[in-house]
Amino acid sequence: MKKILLVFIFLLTSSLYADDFLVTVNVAYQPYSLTSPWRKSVIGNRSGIGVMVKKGIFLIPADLIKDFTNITVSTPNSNKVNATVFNVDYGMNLCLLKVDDQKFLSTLNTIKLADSYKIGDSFTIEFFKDELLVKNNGTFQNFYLLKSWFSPYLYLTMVIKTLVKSTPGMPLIKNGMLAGICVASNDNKNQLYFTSLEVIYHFLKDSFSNKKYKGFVFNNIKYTDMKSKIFREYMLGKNTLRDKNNVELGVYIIRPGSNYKDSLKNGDILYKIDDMTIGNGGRVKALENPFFSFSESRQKYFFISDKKSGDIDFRAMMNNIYFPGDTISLSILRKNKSIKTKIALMKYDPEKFLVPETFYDRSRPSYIIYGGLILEELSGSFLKQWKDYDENSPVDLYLKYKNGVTKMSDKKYVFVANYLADEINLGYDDYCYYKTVKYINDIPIGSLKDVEKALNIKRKYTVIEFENTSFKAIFDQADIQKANTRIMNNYDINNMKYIF
Amino acid sequence: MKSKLILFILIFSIFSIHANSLNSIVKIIVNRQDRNCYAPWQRGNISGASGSGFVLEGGAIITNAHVVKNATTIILKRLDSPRQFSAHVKYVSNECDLAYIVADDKSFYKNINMLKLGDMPDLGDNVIVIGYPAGGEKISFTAGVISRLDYEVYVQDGNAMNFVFQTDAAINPGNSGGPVLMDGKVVGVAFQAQSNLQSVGYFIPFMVLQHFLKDIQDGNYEGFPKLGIAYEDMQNKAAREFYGITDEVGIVITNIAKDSPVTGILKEDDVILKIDNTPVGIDGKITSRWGRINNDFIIKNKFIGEKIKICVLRNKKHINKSIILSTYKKGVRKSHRYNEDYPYLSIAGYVFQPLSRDYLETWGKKWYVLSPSSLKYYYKNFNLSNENRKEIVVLSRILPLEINQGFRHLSYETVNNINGKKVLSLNDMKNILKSVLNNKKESYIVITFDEMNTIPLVIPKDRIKVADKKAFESYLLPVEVR
Repeated sequence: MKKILLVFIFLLTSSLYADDFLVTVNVAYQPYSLTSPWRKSVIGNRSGIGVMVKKGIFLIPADLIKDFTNITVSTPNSNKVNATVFNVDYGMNLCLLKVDDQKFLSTLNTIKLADSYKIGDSFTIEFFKDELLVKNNGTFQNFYLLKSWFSPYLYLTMVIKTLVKSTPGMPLIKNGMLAGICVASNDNKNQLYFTSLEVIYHFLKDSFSNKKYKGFVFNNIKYTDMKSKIFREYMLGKNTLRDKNNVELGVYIIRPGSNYKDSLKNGDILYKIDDMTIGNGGRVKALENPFFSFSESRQKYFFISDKKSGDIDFRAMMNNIYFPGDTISLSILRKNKSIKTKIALMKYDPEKFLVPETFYDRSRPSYIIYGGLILEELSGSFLKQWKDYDENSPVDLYLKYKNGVTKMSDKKYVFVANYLADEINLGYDDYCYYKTVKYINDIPIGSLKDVEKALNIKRKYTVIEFENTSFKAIFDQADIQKANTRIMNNYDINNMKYIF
Repeated sequence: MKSKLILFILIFSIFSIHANSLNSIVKIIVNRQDRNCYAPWQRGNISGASGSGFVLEGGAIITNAHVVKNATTIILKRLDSPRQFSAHVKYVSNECDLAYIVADDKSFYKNINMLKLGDMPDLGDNVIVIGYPAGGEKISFTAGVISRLDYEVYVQDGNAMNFVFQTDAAINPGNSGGPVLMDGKVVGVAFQAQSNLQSVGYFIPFMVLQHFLKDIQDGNYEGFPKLGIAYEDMQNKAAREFYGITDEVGIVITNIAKDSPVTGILKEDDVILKIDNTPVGIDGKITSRWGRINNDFIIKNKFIGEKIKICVLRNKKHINKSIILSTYKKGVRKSHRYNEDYPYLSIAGYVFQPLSRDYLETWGKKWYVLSPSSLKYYYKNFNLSNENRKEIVVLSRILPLEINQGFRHLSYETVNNINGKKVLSLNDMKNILKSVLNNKKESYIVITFDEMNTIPLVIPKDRIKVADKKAFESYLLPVEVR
């Protein structure tokens, strides 16, 4: 009896506080198969939560809509209505859905964005369970730079300690205002990760105010802190590199980011960006008295701060207060000499990198099938088909990905993604799986377009050469046409190539 | 009916051995202390094991190398004597898992009826396996037939492949090192089994044992020669035509190891047609009395220093080349190491080791998944690459000390150079470090790694002494540079 009463009180409370800015988002999706790229793989469904940030516009994590075929939204009291994508930024894992159904929208209200908050604050987490709104509490533990599944972007998240299990997109609420949306979880530690308000704010501002969406600065900088006394002494020599409060400054740049390579070098000590000094741990002071305004040309804000130190990773700061196209000034120490240099900030474009994390603007993979060998350009998406891909995917390809994902290049690695057994490739299977193609008919290969060109060369034999071995896949060109027809029939292939 | 037949074979076979010969089959009890690749400056656990062995005509006591690996004491027990005899290893070959041991007391050999070497057996021949399985005190016999001649990795070595006879006679732990007899004569040595299959045991074939015995005749064990090549079968018709292979003979060389005996003589893309006048099929096999077997059979029956002829097709022209056989040892060691300490170098709490299979296995049985990707890559590709380094030196351990604060994330990085000097091997690194330590103009040892996306390791020379002392007090890590 007591239990029934408790449930009743819970339901009553839930309905009393039922927030009318939340919707359930249902997505039907069907990705292309990366190993049989001419066809799509299984159809699936996923669901999450969206919050209405502007009339008819709902904020969700972008991974919810990956490879979507249809998107609907609903509330516990309404039918499902269709939604379209208003704007999506896969790199930062944010998406805005648009709903036009006025009747549906008439039951909903817009949520406002929260103002400042700090580590230790309590929040409400809201989600639907069995079509009922449930609210639970969580505590802000820390911030964390989460790596996007779709790109090498790192984006600022808040780590919330809570017993709530993850539902993509569920909002973090403070005083009835939005403070973040759920993007990841660590169930072992009872932690949820929420994209922080700084990132959301930047995204919304860019989506609504700028004529063309600019996106986020791709922060391709890898650094090591300079807290080690020995390392500081060795690197700085007689320089001390401290601010006026005697705080040690500077981080050691181990990867400048190939987009900044003319201005920033491996081994530089970066200690200031514009007028913000960078501490020896890579942190900048969070700005005091945060404010935001859609009319500001460059918002200078930090909503969140570390209660103890009040600082934040400088890369998160770069992500949030600048836009691609902005030019910033860097103060660096290079070989014990102070240098000031400028860099133009840019957005991540997978097409411009040696190994794209994913070709998220074109979910359909490019490929060429020749003699039963399926040739593709290497991407993070291909390797992520393996569970724990960093351990289980082919080591040669994984290292290429690891070193090439942040390296700008107009080349790509072309490799054998699969093998369609046929008499024309008899005996080749043991030698060419996941091998990177080096030459075809003596033409160096740096993209599928190169492959296409090389395969058009008329010779008696087509010779495909690979890295790390002198094994060659050799095909008699006179037999290829017949073999292609046979392979297409046997494997039900509609196209022997697709190049984006 | 089948069981009666097996019983008959067993009884017949046992009676065909001179009854007294059984006293030449001994039980071997070993105490051992394994080496510790994880912490190479200290030894591993102490344990015990037992196996079998036999005395061959001439007095050689033969057993498996894995029975006596890392042994601190070896005890022999004769079937007909209450006494235990201590022994020591005279020759050992991990690559063919054989050891020649000698009893310390000559009275061990008194009245022993030594076994004779037999002849080359054929498939289907009846054999019996004799030994002391599961550590039992009584001698045990199992019977079976020779099922096939295989080419397998010898587990003791971990990498080297050689020929094995498969039999359906039961081979269990403790049988290791025991003789396999046919008509009362030794035709092999029991050594490993296939645990996931029924009635599949392996014994070291007669020819491998014979190779081992001939090899040590000059008082040194040199091992089996290796060609040091990787090749591609020529099953593909277009590939055969491309290389000019007109019949079903020929394999194409795809890689040649750094210091292989064929380096500078054969080339990648050469088609090997014949090895010592034996045609090599497009499947990489040769014809033998045991059916088609791996072409390595020819090389495995030769000795280091012997000359062989290789007939190749290069640019569609026949060429005969003469090769002096050798083995090659440069590069990443893929064989297990026994009876010797792991090489390492330590300074200021940093431990450096050459990359090896044993080192990767410190990540456990799934090392090929769990070990760092860059190390897996080197393991796979380094020996066949053109790099001039002899070894890959890994920063294998960082023992926490004040001097290495801020550098501990550098574990498992591979060393590229020290104060600008390229490191080619662990020995080379030792010499470079010594010269930097003696150079008064340099205040720091600066080690840079192959991975570009990391900081250099900086060691201030004036703090090394204190750090070394602390490393010894805290971790018993001795200094291994000066």
